[in-house]
Amino acid sequence: MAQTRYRSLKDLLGEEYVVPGTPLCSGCGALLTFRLFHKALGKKVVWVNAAGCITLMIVYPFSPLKSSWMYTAMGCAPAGAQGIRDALDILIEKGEVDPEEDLKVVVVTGDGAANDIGLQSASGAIHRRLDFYYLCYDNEAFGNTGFQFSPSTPYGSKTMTSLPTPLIPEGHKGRKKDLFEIWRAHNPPYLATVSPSHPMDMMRKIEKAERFKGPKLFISISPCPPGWGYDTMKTIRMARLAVETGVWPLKEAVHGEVRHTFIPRSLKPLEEYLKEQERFKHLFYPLRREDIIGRMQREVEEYWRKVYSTEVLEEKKD
Amino acid sequence: MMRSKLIAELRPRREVVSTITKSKMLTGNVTAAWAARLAEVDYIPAFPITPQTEIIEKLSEWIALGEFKAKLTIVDSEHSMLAAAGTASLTGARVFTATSSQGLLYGFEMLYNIAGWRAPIVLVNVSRAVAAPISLEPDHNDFLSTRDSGFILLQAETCQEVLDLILLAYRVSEDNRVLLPSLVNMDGFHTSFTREPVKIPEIEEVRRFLPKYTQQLPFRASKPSAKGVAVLRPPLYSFYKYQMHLSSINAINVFKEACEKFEECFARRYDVIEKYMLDDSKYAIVMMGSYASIGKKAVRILREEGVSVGLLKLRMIRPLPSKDIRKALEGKKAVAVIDQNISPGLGGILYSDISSILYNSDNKPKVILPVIGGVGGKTITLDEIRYVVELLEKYANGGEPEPILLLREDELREVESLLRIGVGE
Amino acid sequence: MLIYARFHGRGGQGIKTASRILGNAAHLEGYFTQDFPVYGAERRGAPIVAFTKITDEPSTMFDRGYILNPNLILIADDSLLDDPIVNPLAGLQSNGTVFINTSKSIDRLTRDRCDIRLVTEDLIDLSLKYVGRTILSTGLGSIAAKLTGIIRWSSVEEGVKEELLEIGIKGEILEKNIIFAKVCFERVYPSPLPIPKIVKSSKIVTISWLPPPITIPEVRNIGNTEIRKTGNWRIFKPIINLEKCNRCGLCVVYCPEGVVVMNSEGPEIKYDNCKGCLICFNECPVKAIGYLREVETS
Repeated sequence: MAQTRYRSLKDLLGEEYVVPGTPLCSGCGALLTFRLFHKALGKKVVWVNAAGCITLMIVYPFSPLKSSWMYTAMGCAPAGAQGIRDALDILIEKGEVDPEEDLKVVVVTGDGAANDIGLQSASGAIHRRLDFYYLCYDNEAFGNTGFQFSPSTPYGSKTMTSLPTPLIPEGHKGRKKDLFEIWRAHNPPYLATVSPSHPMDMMRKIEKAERFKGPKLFISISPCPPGWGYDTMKTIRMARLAVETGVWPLKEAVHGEVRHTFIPRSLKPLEEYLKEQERFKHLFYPLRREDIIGRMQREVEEYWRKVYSTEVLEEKKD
Repeated sequence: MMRSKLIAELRPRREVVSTITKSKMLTGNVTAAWAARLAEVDYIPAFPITPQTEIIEKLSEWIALGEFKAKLTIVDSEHSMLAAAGTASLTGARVFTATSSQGLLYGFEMLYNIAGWRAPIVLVNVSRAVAAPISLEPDHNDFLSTRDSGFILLQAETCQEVLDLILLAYRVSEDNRVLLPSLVNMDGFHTSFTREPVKIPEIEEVRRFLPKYTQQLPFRASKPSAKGVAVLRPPLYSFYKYQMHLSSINAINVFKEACEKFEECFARRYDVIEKYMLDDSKYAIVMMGSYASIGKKAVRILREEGVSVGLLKLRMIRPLPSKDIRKALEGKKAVAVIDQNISPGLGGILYSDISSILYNSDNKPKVILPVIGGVGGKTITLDEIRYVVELLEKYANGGEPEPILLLREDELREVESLLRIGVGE
Repeated sequence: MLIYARFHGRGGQGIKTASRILGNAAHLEGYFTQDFPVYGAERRGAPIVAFTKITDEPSTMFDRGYILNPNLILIADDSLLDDPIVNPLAGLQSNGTVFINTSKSIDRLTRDRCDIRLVTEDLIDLSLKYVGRTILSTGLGSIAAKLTGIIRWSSVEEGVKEELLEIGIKGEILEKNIIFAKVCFERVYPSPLPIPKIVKSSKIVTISWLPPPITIPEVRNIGNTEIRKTGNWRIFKPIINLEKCNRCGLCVVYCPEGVVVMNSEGPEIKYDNCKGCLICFNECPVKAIGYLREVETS
């Protein structure tokens, strides 16, 4: 990371490719991630989308993008990207398209499409070494349909299909699918998690990914004010707390080799993150559920114990 | 006298340019691959399924040998295959792909999308009966399930027709008056694996017939656009969908025009329907696909026996060429529609289409007889068609026809013996 | 008797719940009732609409869907009045009633439509006072019920309770909402509503084939959303104090909408499209950004 376009926040103030006036929710974390991502990628982009909140950015006759957009269907955005990439490749090879007209092909989907209905299509595209970017904005539920649980919903979250009741005090009983590891098992050249609260980290990762041909995959935490239940002004705060409590590790994997890009000296208590969100309110009110909160905290600690014992100790040895 | 008239009907209507093209023994599948090669398609997303596999095997072999320049990508499913096909077409590539049966149904969602995107790909379906139960032999349930998708639907009978209809399909689909994808159907085994002589034209001849594909606003860095976008205003949605319908209707005349040009280039003449010994017949049977060959043979023999019957072969299913079909069947005493498909609770799918076309005619047949035959690849014999014609003669003199399933006594015995083994005594 | 009530509001303001409170209360009174929301692509903050139909004669309820000829309109947000696409007063029957949640005086409305009755209240103010947060649904539903002139408070109370429990609001917040609803119920008075006249629609047209590209659902005129003035979604308006500002640019980076731009003088908010999420306020490291309630700024 010796040479980077992004040395200070000032380097993030450049041209915008998403104009205002979208119909997305006020304070939308996904839109923020998308906007920053676009800044890093530049204008020569075609976005390929699967059904999700972001889909509604573009409803006829409006588009806030200065770049191209292709909505496919919920299950096949990576395949849609394949078609565009392959077509550009063969038409350039045949001399029918000027290489100057080439585009970066970028899939953008929510966590529902990425983890569930579109997982096969993504797996196929990554396996085929499709030269593309994939941005998964993870708001930890099917946000667009009104916040039902997805495979990305964390244990203990209330969603519209996992309401906490006396029978099921924790709300969502399932555990968050580890999309990072699922994707990493395909051995893509570049894979990273990002957070809109840490824009420098995000921009440098996208910049780094540009060096690689093949699948370049990103998962961004994307706080959702109506779904998570917090005031719109706290979107960045939520993302930052997720990183600082350790529940959203910032990391990258280059050719499968994992490295954490932000290692907190000490983790903030997870509670600080949970208690500000309606979706976890049942863990604190009317009764504090130490058992559930404790379990969630232990899982985070377990994760970081491994990180500290591998990466941090490795670094110390060096 | 009758025979000489029939021969006249078969003969091309005008003098045509003679070509030096020689014929080769080819299966329907290899013929389809040849058509894609001759259309100089840029892109073939694919996923294997019986009985379509031979098509993509052949194409990938040619590409690997360097004989044919195109990009072929084996993807993870038919859903992905069709998604890639559609977006590649919107990027400016001429796209070919092929599937069958379960594969077609697995990708079904994308058929409506491709048509709605107005992406003029050509998809070949090799018909195979749909599970459950699993089958390998052909019927038309897979093909006809797509009839409301917006695809132009064409059905081939012979291997030569497979080649010719694919070339015609590109010309029609890519025409601005249409701009809808095409689905060219051939029957598994009976066409796909049957070898017969096929005339393969020279590539220069094909270029004369088929202009290059130009997508008006492909994905390019200098000209961004947003495609596949949501349309949430109900009147605007109605507008777009109705425009798809009108464009599909345009395809009837665009196809006829293309047939004229086709005849000029290749000396073979097609139309949206094909009439066989039909013009002067009292009775008519309606069929499509490979089984129409069996129907034609039966008609010829029955004619020789003095029975006044002709055959209407459907070639274009969507748009449904209503005027042509009505004109061909008006004045008949009775018509039988042999559906090689089954819509449980309705009967045959084409029966309703044909009946609705004729309903408003002043000179409609007295009776239209619904017949289901050839489902799951069950063969149809001469005597089964003879039986259908006998029923037509009977109902022409009165009585309300009952829907019938063509199943013979020997076949029933086979069914019973299999059931005895499977169920136990 | 036929009441056609149409609710206009923004996503997140509880328009659907308001229409259901009215529907439920009327149902509890023994009337034949239908309620129905319309969802679009729009998210929290964008205009939405809901309907409630009430009658004492079931045959007049042979109806479904949009109300084009309301005799009662309830508008949760006065900024919708100037939205040409929403056009919230469309079809309001002569002598019909319109209720607007506003803190302003809206005389111009009755100047344009002197044949309608206008009722206003500042529900945001009332809800902040009685519930401690901005909630409109209960107040709006309660006011709607009162304006029909045929629903008693006891049915409204029951309706509020059932509808709020349905969306998971219970305990203390529920109690506060009921008090809020009661206050609202007592603040307005009904006047007789006219029988809605059947709307005559314009004539049927013939559509013929048109050439592409206009028949292809693709947007060619991209980057065009700025004309949607999403600034009117705002309840609170962020204001930058350039004297305190250190030009770090964080507000520019963190704005989801990209409505904060860095000029030579410092950051500037493009209010036409600022939805008022206040991330900039919350994240400013030198506290150079404050905010005001939108109504106090004009």
